[in-house]
Amino acid sequence: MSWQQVLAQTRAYNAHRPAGHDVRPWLRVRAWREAAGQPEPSVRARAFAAVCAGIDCRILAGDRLVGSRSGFVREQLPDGVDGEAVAREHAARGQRDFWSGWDHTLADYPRLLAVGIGGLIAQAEAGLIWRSDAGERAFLAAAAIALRGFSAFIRRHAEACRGLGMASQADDLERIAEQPPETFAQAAQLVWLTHIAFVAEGRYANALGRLDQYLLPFYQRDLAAGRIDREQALDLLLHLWAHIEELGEVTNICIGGLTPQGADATNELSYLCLEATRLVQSPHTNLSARFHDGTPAEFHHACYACIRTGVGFPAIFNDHVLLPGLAEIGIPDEVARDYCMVGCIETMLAGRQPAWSDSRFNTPLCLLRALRSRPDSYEQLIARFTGEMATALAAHAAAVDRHLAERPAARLPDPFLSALTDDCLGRACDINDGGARFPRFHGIAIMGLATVADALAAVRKLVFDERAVCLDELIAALDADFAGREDLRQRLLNRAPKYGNGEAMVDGIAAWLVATTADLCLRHRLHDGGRFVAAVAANVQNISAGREVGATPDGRRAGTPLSDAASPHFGRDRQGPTAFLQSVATPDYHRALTGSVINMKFEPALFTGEAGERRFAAITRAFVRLRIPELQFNFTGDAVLLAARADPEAHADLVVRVSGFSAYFTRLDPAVQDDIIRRRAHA
Amino acid sequence: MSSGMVFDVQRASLHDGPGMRTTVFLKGCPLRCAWCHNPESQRHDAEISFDPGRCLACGDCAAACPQDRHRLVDGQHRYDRDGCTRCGKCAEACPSLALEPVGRTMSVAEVMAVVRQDLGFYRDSGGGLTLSGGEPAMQAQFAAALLAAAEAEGIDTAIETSGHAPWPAWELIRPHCRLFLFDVKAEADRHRELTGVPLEPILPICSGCTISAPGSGCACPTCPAGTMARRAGRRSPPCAPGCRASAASS
Repeated sequence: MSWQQVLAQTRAYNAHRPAGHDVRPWLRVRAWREAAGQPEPSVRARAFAAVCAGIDCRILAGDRLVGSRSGFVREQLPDGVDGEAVAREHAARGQRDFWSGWDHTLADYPRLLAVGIGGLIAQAEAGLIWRSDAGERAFLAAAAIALRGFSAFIRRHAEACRGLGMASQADDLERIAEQPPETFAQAAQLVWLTHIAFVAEGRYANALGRLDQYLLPFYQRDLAAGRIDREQALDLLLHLWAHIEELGEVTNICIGGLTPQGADATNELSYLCLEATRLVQSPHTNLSARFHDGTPAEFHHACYACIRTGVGFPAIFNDHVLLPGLAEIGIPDEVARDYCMVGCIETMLAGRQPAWSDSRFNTPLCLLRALRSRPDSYEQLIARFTGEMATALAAHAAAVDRHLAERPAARLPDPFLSALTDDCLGRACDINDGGARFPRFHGIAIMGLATVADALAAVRKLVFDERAVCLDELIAALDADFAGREDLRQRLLNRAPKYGNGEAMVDGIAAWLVATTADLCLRHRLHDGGRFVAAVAANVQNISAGREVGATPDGRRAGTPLSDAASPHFGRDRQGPTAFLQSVATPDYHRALTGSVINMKFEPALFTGEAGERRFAAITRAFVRLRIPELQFNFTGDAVLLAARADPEAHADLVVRVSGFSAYFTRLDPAVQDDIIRRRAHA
Repeated sequence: MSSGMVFDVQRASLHDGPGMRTTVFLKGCPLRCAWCHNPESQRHDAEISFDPGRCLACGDCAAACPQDRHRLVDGQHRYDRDGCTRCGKCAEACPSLALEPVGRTMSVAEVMAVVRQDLGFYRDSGGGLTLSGGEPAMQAQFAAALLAAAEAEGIDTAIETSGHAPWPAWELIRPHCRLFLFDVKAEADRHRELTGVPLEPILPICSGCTISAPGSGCACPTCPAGTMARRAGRRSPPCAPGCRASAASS
C-alpha cells in the first residue's frame, strides 16, 4: 500500500472518527482490581500491560508500518460494564498531569534500538537478583512487567500481520518483540510502536527526537548490505509521517545539528525527513531543524524547499544559543549537543530527563502594577517592575512545585516511561523519583515580550525623557481603556520606538527583559532538583493572556492579544526582514533555556525561483550568524489578505508584491488591494 | 556634497537589483509621469503631507505651528499651505501621523549608518546599495558621494534612474556605480506626452552608462523580457535588437 493511500485513509478516518467507547479506562480499572494489594508500581504496570493486551491491533492490509490509535475505541463496552462507574474509579486512582511530568515525553530511543526490549528486561531482572531494597525491587519488577506487556503488544501485531498475509512484517515484528532491530524498517517499526504505546497510556505531544541520528546506523547498514535504497527508505519515512498524521497532535522530530562529539550531524536521513515533510504536508509532523556555523549550504537549501511550500516546517534552531546555556547549568557538552525538541520548541535532553512541563506567566500584569505605584523615574519603574516580577515568579514557581510535590512517585509511579529513560533501570528508581540522569525542566512562558518592551519604551520616551505625557494622565487613560484619549493612544503607538524595527533603545529593553526573566526563572528550583527555565514562547496563549490585561502604555487596548511569543507586536515591525532580524537578534537567549518562538511572515511570491532561494538562504545564514535562537516562517495566502482588509492595524507588516514593486499591503489603495486579491484568487 | 534630500530609505528591498538591498530614494524628479505612484517625491524640497483619514482633529498641530497655518474650524482640521515654511513642527506634534514630513536632509554618514546595518545580508544574498528616487541623478554630487562611500566599504552599488540628467552628472556617478538600471518610461513618440520630457537625450546616456557596466541594462515598455529580468533582480541584457526605444537612438 502506497503512503498516499495510507495518508488518504488516515485523513478519511480522522474526518469521520466512529463514535464509540474508549476501552482503556475499563482495561485499567479491571487490572487494578485484579492486582489489588500489590505495590503501586506493579499495579500501574499491570494496567499498562492490560491495555497493551486489550486494545485492538488495527492494521491496514499492505501498510509498511503498523500501530494505530484506532484500536482504542470499540463500538460497545462488554456487557455488564458500567461506563460511568469505570470513569469514576479511573479518575479516583489519579494520574500524572502536564505539570507533574506526564505529557511531552521523549524516550531513550538510541538505547532501546541498541539493546532491544529484551535487553531492557534483562537489565531489570539483573537488578532484581542483587537488589534487596523493597522499593527498588518493586520498581524493577514493575518495569519488567511493563516491558513484557509491550513486547506482547508487538507480538499481537505480528499475529495480526500474519493473518493478513504480511509475512515479512510479521517476521520483523516477532524479532523486535524481544531482540534489538537489525534493519531500518525494524528500527522504525519499533520506534513507532513505542510511540503508540505512549499514546495508549494517554500521553500527548510526545516527541520522536533525533530520528536522523538514531536511525542512521540502520540505514547505512541496510545500504551497505543492499537491503534498501534511498527511495525505499524515503517511502518508509513517508509511511511513518502518514501515521503521525493519524494522531493529529504535535509530534516533534529533530534533524541536523551537532553530533555528541561536536561534528556536523546533518546526514542523508536529515534530507529524507525534509523530503517526507514536504511531500506529506501534514501539520502534525512538527519538524525542527538544528543549525550551526558548520551546517552545509545544501541543508539551508533543503530546508527552504520544504518551508516554501507553506507547510511551516521546519522551524529552525540555533545550536550556538542553546548549547552555552546548557553548559552554564552543568549539562556536559556531549549530552547538551544531543538536545532536541519536544512538543513545539521545548528543549529536551532526549531520553535522559523526566517529561517536560510548562506554565504561563503574564508579565504585563507586573508592569501595570509597577506603573500604578507611580515611580519618579524610569530607573525606579524598572526597579519596581523587576521586584514585581521577582515576587510573582517566586509565587508561580512555588505553586508549580507544590503541584508536583502533591504527586509523588510513590503514589503515581510511571514504570513504562521509566524503563525507557536513562538511567532508571540502572538506578532502580522511577523517572520522577531520581531515576532520570538529568533533572526536569519546567518552562515558564514569558508572555508579551514585545508588548512590555514597546510599553516601557513609550513610557521612557514620552513620560520620563520628553515629559510629553504625564504619568497620572497615562494611568487615567489606561484605566479608561483610552476612552476619549485616542490622541494619547495614537501618540503612544506612533511617537515611541517599537520592537522589530532595528531601533537600539527598544531592542535594548527587550534584551533586558529576556535576560532578567531568564535569571529570575533560573533562581528557582523544583524540590526534586528540576530547573525552572524561561521560555519566550506563547503558542496562542498571548490571546488568552491578553484578555486578562488592561490597556498597556504601548497603545494596546484592554483585552486584546499580547504580542506573540518572542515576535514583535503584530503589525508594528515595518522596516522589513533585515531590521526584524536585527531586533530579534538583540536579546541574548542563551540563559532562557527554552529559547523563543519568533514568527516571520512572508508572502510566498517573495521566495520563488533561484532568486528566492538566495534570499531565503541569506535569512537562514543571518539567523545562524546573528545567534537568533529560533525562527519559523509563515507563508500566507488569500485568506490572510482578506483578513488584512478587515483588520489593517493587525496586518500592517504584510508585504505583497503588487506589480513592478512590493508594498505593505494595508497601505495600498483599496482598489489596488481588490486587484491583488482578485488576481490571486484566479491564480 | 556631504548631504542631500532623502525621500526614504528602504531596507531589505528585493526588487531594486540583485539580492537584498538597501534602497535610498532621493527626493526630486524632473519627470511628471502620468502614473507616478510617489508624487510627493517629485519636488526637491521637504514637504509636509497631510492624511485627513488619520486626523483626530486634536489641535496639537495648531498649537505647535509658529505660522498659524493649522486651524480647527467646526471640529475640522484646515491646513493652509500658503505661507507654510515647512518647518515640520506640526508633524512633530501630530500624534497620529496624519501630518508627516516628506523628505529630510541627511548626510552621507547618516545614510551609510543605515546602509551598513545590513552588510551581512548583502554578502549572503549578493545585494548592496541602490539609489532610486525621485531621480537620483538630480542630486548627482550627493549620489556620487553615497556610491563612493559604499564602494569604499566593499558594498555593491546600483542606481535606478530615468536617465534624465545632463551628462556631467553621469560623469560623477559612473566611476562608483557598478550597475545601471535604466527605466525607460515610454516609447519615443509618447515619452514627452506621458512624462513631460523627451526621450532623445536619455538614450545616449543609457548606452553610454550601460556599455561600461556589465550586467546593466534598461527596462523599457517594448522589451517585456528585459523588464521582467530586471524586476526579478537578475542582470538584464541591454535592449533586444529591434527594440523601438533603443532603435530611436541609433
